[in-house]
Amino acid sequence: MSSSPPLIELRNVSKVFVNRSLRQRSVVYALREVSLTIARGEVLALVGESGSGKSTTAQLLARLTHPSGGEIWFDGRAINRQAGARELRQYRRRVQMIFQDPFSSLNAVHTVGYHVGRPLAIHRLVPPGRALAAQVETLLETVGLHPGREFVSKFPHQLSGGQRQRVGIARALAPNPDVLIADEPTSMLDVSLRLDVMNLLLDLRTTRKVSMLYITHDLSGANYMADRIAVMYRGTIMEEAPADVLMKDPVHPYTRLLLDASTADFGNGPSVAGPLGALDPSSPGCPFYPRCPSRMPVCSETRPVSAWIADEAEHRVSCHRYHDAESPKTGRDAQPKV
Amino acid sequence: MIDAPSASVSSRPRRVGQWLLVVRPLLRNAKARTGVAIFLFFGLVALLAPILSPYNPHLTIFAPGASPSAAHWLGTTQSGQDILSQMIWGTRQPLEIALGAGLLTTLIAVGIGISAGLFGGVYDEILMLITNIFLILPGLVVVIVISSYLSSANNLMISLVITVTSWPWGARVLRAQTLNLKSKDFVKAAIVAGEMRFRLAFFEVLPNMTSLVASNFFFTCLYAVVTAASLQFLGLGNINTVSWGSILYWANNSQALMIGAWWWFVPPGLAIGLLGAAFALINFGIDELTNPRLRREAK
Amino acid sequence: MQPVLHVEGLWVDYFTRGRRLRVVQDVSFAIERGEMLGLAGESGSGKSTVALAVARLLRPENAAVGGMVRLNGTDFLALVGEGLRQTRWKSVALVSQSAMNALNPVINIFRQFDDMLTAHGYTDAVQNRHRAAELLDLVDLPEQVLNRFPHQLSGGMKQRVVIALALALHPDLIIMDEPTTALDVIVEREILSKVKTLQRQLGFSVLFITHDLDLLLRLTDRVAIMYAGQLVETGPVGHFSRSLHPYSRALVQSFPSLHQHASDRRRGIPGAPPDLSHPPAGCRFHPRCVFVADVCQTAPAWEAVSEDPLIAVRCSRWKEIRDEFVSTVD
Repeated sequence: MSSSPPLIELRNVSKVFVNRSLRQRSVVYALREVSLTIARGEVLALVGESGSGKSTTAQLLARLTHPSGGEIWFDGRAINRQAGARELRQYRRRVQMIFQDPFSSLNAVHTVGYHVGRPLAIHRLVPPGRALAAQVETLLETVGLHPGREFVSKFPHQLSGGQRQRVGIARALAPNPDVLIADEPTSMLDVSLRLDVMNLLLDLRTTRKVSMLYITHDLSGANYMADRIAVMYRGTIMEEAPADVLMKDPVHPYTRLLLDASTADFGNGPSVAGPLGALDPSSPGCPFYPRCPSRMPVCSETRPVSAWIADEAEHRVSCHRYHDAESPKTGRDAQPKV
Repeated sequence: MIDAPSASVSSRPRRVGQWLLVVRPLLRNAKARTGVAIFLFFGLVALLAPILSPYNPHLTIFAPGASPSAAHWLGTTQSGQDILSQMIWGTRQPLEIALGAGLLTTLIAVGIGISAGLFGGVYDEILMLITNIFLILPGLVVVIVISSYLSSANNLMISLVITVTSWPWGARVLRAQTLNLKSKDFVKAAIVAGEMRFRLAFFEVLPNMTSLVASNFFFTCLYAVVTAASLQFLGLGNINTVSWGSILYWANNSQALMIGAWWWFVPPGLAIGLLGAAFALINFGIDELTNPRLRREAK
Repeated sequence: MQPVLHVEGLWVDYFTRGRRLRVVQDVSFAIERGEMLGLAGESGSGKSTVALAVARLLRPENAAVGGMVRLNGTDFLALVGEGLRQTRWKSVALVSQSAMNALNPVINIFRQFDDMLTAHGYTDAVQNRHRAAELLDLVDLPEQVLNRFPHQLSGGMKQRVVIALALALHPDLIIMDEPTTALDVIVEREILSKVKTLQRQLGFSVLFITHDLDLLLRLTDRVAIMYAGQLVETGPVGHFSRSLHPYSRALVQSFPSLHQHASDRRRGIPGAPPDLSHPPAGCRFHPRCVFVADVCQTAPAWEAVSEDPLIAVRCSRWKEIRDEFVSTVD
């Protein structure tokens, strides 16, 4: 682990949604005992498909919802659900979020200036009036909207998708946060604009030293952006490692499939995953079991625990194939054969 | 990402304010335009009643039961009052009650609907329980019962009585829309930015429901016009004030229909219908503007 | 040999708000039997409109279509009424992102097949059931799926059903418009691998439309790139590592490769796609182009660089760009 204490830490965080209908009451785990850390100035990418729980993680960190179990620590203190207004406001100043959909994340009735200026006013960072207006313009120019003055009085519908997303980023930057949560910030943008938004975020990381949780479904984007990558599947962290390690040397069968699916040519060789099967939510086994090409009988019976890989810094995996081995040493050789 | 022809971003009219945003397209809609025109006509008549009215509506000095003539365009009543003057002065009361009830109802519906939807939980459940109780009260019956206790009801009283039975509809609709907007990212973004509840409700959610709020307002106006007229026709409320409803009451009382004095009951009936239609037309216009499917067919 | 689909000078106008807007202009391409052509473009580039125009799914009150579309040599744009209906489904099938959500929710999967087959003259229910099971087998779905309803299937399974439906009448051409965009990458890979296998097995042609150029370069035989309603470049997949149009070059570049970290910074394309009601004069890409010169003020022609394999480009400076490439590579 890194030497300094993490800025953000999730400790065994679970999030449960209860579906109540007349006949039955069913429980859906959006997150199951997820543990993650983000160090100061670090970018952690959370990779997963839709329904993997990555957006729920973002909402938890943004305190838009509360965990059902476990704890979230921020800057050495556990987040308290019954936090006072002051503490919550303090948190909101320091942890900001960029949303996925630039079309729905801006309010159609407010100007660009309003969107970017509000956080400044709420947190009383700049006195209202000319100073605030000037700060809004500076922020807009920081995110590449030149000249800022021309954008201030525009409404969202007058902007392109890429420009809207930049306004969203400017708004998140306004209170000068320590942490940015970026929930698939480029997935709704045109291909030609994505890279620039990613680069903008990377620049901000360098110039402002913000930590970032970068959420994406795209491994190559995660690798481009992040220091470390965590791969999530159905609410569980399957594997976590420094970006280069994960890309070069993935251990978990799911990560391998993901990597394969995003690189290899099509139509060569057999279909990659096992037979299609829906997971019974009450199944005690590994969540990836029904689709896993290297599953074993034990995989359907018990959930694998997440464990660090010996001899490798910051690389952990949650897979029976792996932990099955007697010792961590030989575990290295006991990788699943795909 | 939809692959549609990129609608030009710059050619749409610049929004100058919330007000213009609603009003300008509304006036481009033929139905709404007709509605607004009728409404403005009655509004002008009510304002200019002292100038427009040929006689004092209370004077009983004319030949009773006269049919329309050059001196009395709409004839006279059985007790010798000029009906045209009564009609002109009588515009005021239905308008005041309609706007009063519309405003009160909308205020309550907005307050309860948005706060219930936005804050949720127990607060929401209690408010919705109250709303539902009011919702199942039989409207007109309640209004009649309350009115019969208020012998000298003024316009504000009647507006209040109508409000009691009409607010739950709007509250439910606005709550549903609030729930819908609450799940939108811009509301979440405002929460993350640190906005307090009051600002969330009135600066983020409410401006996105202007058409619903307006349509709720005009619907209540329509309901109020009809209800107020019914009350007076039944002799409840104050029948000694001059209003379309009371003209109808006296016409009915004097067997105007039997004696064939059509000039006595047709004008107030028509006026009530027209004002109601005006509110309904404005409402249709708003509907067409906010519902794209209707808009296309309206072309 | 005659191509399965031959499109020449295709244009499409949309009627919106009383205006006429040209959203596709001068699009020409051909697809050989058994070939898969990828059509890439950003949103608003007109790529889906091309699909709808080729499948004759644009309604005349909403859009005007001109130019030439030949299906197996038949003038497809000239067909009307019953002739169009029969040819459309027997020769072309469309699989879109929305298709999997367009399965009728109140009838089971077998009925979806049965209705479709019945509409084309196959009225024997027993045979249809047999045929439906066969089709499902082609896309690796068990026969039991026939008794399920759409909401009981996952997104990937629904899209497989849609592909099986598309195969039912042995079309010569299947148009796939972002068929897997809503699905996750592993399911996407399973389905597209299956499509490739089926294509080899059954010999149909595919027009594959997506914004994901990276995917196309791994999936298809040939790629065409659209920008602002026009084709800007086409060629075999291998050509795009040295593409001649600045837009396609930038587009290829704008996907971070899997082993690329931010230390090796890449740039996106500055600016945004144009508003089609006021496209830029001359080359439509010139306001965003790094190779822009005076010559770009006049509209470049669609120019063949080589005939076999067909490489064509719409850029006045392609020769200079090619020469620069040669010099930097050597």
